[in-house]
Formats: sequence, structure tokens, C-alpha cells
Amino acid sequence: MTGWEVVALFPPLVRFFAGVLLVLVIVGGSALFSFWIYSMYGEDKYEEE
Amino acid sequence: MPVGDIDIPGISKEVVIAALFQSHVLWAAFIIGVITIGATSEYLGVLTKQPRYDRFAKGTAIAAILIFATGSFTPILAVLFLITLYPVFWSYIQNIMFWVLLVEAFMFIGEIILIYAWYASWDKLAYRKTLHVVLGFTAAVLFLGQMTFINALGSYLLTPALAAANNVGATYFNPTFLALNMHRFVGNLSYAGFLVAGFAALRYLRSTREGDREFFDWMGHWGLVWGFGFLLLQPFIGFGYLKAIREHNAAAFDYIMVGEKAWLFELLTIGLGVMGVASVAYCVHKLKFAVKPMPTLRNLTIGALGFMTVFSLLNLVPADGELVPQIGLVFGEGKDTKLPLGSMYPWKYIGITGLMLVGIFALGLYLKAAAGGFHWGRASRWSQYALITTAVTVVLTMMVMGYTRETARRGEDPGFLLSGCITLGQEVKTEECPQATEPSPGIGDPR
Repeated sequence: MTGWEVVALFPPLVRFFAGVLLVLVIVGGSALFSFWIYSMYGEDKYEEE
Repeated sequence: MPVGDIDIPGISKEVVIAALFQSHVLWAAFIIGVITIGATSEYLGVLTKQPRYDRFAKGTAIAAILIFATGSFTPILAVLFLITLYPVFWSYIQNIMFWVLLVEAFMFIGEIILIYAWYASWDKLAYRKTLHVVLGFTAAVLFLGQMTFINALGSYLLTPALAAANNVGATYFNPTFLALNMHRFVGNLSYAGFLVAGFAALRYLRSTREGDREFFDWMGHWGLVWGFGFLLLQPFIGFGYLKAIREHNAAAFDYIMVGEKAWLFELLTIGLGVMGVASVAYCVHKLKFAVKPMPTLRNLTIGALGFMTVFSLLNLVPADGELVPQIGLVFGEGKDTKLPLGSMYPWKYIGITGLMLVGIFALGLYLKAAAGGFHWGRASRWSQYALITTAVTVVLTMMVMGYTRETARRGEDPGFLLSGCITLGQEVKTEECPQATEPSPGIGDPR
């Protein structure tokens, strides 16, 4: 790998935190999306004990 | 190299692959754990005739089908990126692990059929509950199977079998496969348990109806029992896993335990400590609401909370002054500044064993009280914050542990994708790789 991409790379520490942020964005975003869909589900009727 | 060596500007291809696979595993591990807990709960509902088990089990089915799409989209995207960014590595690993990946694909189909069938048939099979429970357990077994098969691949990358790469049985049962499998099996249940507890706590805090408050209070307890109970097995199994790594990839072991990345285990001990203390604190609080008052039992649990805190703090003491060299967090003479109570032997063994034993003691007392019943729906806000804390911490702990396993392959110079055979730059080591089989342009001389 000797192309321009190497020049454009962030330092390792920045890349590390970028990775952590990316995971949190993907997982957090999909969690919020799931909650949003779940909010449209009706409540089940269960008898109290 | 016969194909283009592409990189991603800015964050690099390593970070892209890591972020995609880690996003996948956070959902996949949750689905595996929650389906297993859900199927077990449904069966307990049949046995005990308590409707809250069934309500909870149906909730796990809803959660699983909502999350399944994201959980399965991320690995598809990740494999697409893997083929594009690491074509040489992927072609080798796909050859070596063909059967494992083939089984993965079929299990995927089985899962899709079963989890949707499990959810959709909830009311239709209400009078054939045993059959419905079997559907849930079969889905759980498929999910566990899928985890098992991908563990064969994951563990092979770190500790390839000491046999030729075309020896399918040996590549499957590579040195760390069993240990990793046990570690992840227990870990998934603990992870899902804590997340269930955290979700229940959020719902409890927002509930206004008495019935909902009782249910979500119980659900927080139920999640915590799974989460904390299985967490207590983890240090023991994790020790076995690390022992296997030390025996078969010493460079990786040194890198993550005493080398540049030893701080990852500092993060792990912080996570373990927070989850342990928060869980026992929750138990102490809950014991106030036992149907049959148990003051002695509660006092003993308060003592256990003190010991849990002490052992957690003991685990936190670093071995030397070199804390996180990557960000310049080094004090004193660095590696030469040895701290009291910081050595692995005997202090960390005492700390970890103590944490497990105290946890088992506290959980045992808690379960004894739980057998007599609690007054549900009266938990304080702080007890629910404790549950939310465990849920947040377990996610961070999972991320740390996943990163640890994968970064361990950097330990052996120059850093490997397939330990000893394919470097991070996708250079195939023809001489050093003991798994090489036939003479080929890529893999080198016959052994």
C-alpha cells in the first residue's frame, strides 16, 4: 500500500477512537430504530397475578 | 499482489472492518443470549403457570425479530468489505474454512424460519405450548451453533491448528476453540441478562400502571440473575482461555497481558468491578422487599458488598507505571516502577477468586430470598440506575474484549491476519507457516 490513502490516514489514536465512535453510531442508531418500530407495537394483554 | 490493494482514507480499512464486525457481534451476542433466556423462560412459564414468564418470553421474541435485520445486515456488509479490502486473506480463509462457512449459511436460513415462526405462532400454539417451547429452544440451538462455527474461524486466526490447513477436523478443533466457545457461550447469557435488566429498569422508571411496574421490576430482577450469575463464571473460563492463548501464541499473550495493550485488562477489571458492585448493591436493596423479612441475610449481603468492593479495587491496581503508553499515560520509571499489590501472583488471583466467591455467596443469599418471593413494584429509582449501569458497562466490556482478541494478533511482529501465515499487509509467509500444504504460487513449499 503506497498510494495517496496512506498520506490521508489519521494517526493511530484518532483511528482508534473513530472506530469506537463508528460502533456506537451503528449500534446506537439501530437500537433507536428498533425502539421506534417497537413503539408502534400494541401492548399484549396479560392478566395480573 | 494480483489484485488492487485498496485502503480507506482517514480511518483505514482495519477500522472499517473492526467497526462493522463489532457492531454485528453486539447484536448477535444479544440475540443468542436473549433467545436462550426467552425459550427457558417460556418453559418455566409452562412449569410454574406464572404468566409473567410467558409475557417476558414473548418480549424476547419481539426483540429478536426487531434486531435480527440489523444483526444480519452488518456481517453481510462486513464480509463485502472484507472481500474488497482483504482479498488475499479472504480467499485463503474461505478455502480453509469452507465447511464452517457453508454450515453458517444453512444455520442462518434455519434461524430466519424459526425465530419468525416462534413469534408468529405464539397465539396459534397457545394450546400446544410444548411444541411452541420446542420451536424456541430449536432456534436457540441454531443460534448457539452458528456462534460455535464462527468461533472455529475466529480462534483459528489467533491460534491455527498445528496441522496442515486442509485437515478439516484439526482446523475446527484448533487450540483455543473450546475455551473461546465456552467463554462466549457464558458471556452471551450474561450480556443479554444485563441488557434485559437495563431495558426493564428503563421501562420500570417510565411505567405508571401498577401491573407494569410489578412486571418490569420482576424483569429487572430476572435479567440480573442471568447477567450476574453467568458473569461470575467468566473470570474462571476467561483464565482458561488466556492459558490456552499463552500456550499456543505466546507473543499475543504477552502483547495483551504484559505488553503495550495490557491496559485493556485494566478496562476489563473496571467493567467487572462496576458490574459486580452494582449487582450486589441491587441485591441488598431488593432484600428489603422480601415477602418473608430476612434481616440477617440482608446484613450478610451488605458485608458481601464491602468485600466485593475491596476485591474489585485490588484487581484495579496496575502492575507497573506504564499504564497506557499510547497516550503517554506513564508515571515513575514506567515498566521499572513496580506497584505493591499489582503483581498477577498472588494479588490478582486473590482478587479474581475473591470476586467470584463473594459474588456466588451474595447471589446464593439473594436466590434464597427470591424463592420466598418479593413485593414487586416497589423498587427505588437508585436500584434501577444500578441495573442501567450494569447494562451500559456490559456493552463497553464486550467492546473491550472483542478488541482485545483481535488486536492480540499484532503481538507477533509484523502483525498477522492469520497468525504466523498471513501478515496484516496480506503478505503470505511461505517459510514460516506450518499450516502450508501443497506447493502453490501463494502458499509456498510443501512441508
